[in-house]
Amino acid sequence: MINLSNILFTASLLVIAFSLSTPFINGAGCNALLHSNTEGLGELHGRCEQGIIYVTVSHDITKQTYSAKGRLAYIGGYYFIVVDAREIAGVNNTSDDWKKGSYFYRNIYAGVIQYGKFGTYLLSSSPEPLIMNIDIRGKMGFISPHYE
Amino acid sequence: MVNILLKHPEWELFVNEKSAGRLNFAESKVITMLASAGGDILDKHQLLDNGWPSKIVSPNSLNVAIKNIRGCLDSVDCQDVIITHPKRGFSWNAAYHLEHEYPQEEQVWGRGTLLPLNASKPTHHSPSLKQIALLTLNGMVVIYIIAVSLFYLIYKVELQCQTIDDMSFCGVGKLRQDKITNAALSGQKYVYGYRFPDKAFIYDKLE
Repeated sequence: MINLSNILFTASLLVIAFSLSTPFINGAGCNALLHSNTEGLGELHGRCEQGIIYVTVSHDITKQTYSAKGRLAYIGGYYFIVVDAREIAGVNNTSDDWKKGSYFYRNIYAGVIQYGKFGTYLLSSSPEPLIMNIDIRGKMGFISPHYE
Repeated sequence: MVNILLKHPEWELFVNEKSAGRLNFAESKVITMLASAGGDILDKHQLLDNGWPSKIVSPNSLNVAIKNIRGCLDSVDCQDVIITHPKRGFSWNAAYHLEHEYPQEEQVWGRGTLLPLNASKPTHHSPSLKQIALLTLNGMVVIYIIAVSLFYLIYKVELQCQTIDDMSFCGVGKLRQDKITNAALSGQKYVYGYRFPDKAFIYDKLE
């Protein structure tokens, strides 16, 4: 027999699960174009639509092109990207050691976006602490306070 | 008193452990109703309603059923079990007693125990389908919560902010104060971090 306490317990679990999913739910509302030109990294072009983010980096020194597709979770400036597909063109050395060490062969990227009068910066914490000046045109989620 | 045993669900009659033959559904209902009436006369309509529920049958069907039951019992020398009352109906001979035996899986208190037909079925305290569904749902949600919590724990983003001379420096990773030149600062809020790919410490004005 199912009593009220069982139903309340299940409801509480569902509320917790929903709360934890908030960044992914919010990220599903993204609709933005991303651009960055950072010395040492190259030119980054990206777009985000309905929670799916596509990023292409053209390295200005090696002339290699990195493309990745992933799912975006975003809330309050904090972001998580879970990569589900990638392609690296122009790379000759694709040994396991190279993949292990390459910034572009990671599956999960996490960080925080800082918006300011003088620019927008992407502060990455995973896979390693990095800073990048980035131009974001559009919204990164359903709730995106810095949407222009 | 002679005991007659009706085994379910095959409706096989036994007298003194000797098989008297098998009855059909209607016949088993008729014999059960007569035996449970305790010698009272039951008319044809009562027996027809009980033996063929929700069906319209001719009165002759009852006569055939009574004849078959008697035939079975006669085969083991058990006679006059059902008494005919012309134009009134039938009754059970009080010299006989009808017992029922049900299959093992329907019994909870031992092998060979007889369970009366009108007794309520023993209750099993196994979880219902709803309970199983709820438990499965809870289990899946708990696994999801643990997985997502672990994800956030592993990939947590720690934005650190530090104030130096009324200026706020925010970034991920360690703030290298020795790399900050106060003379060149004019803003209120700065971001700092490590440049890709040489990992040199840099900072820039945000506000």
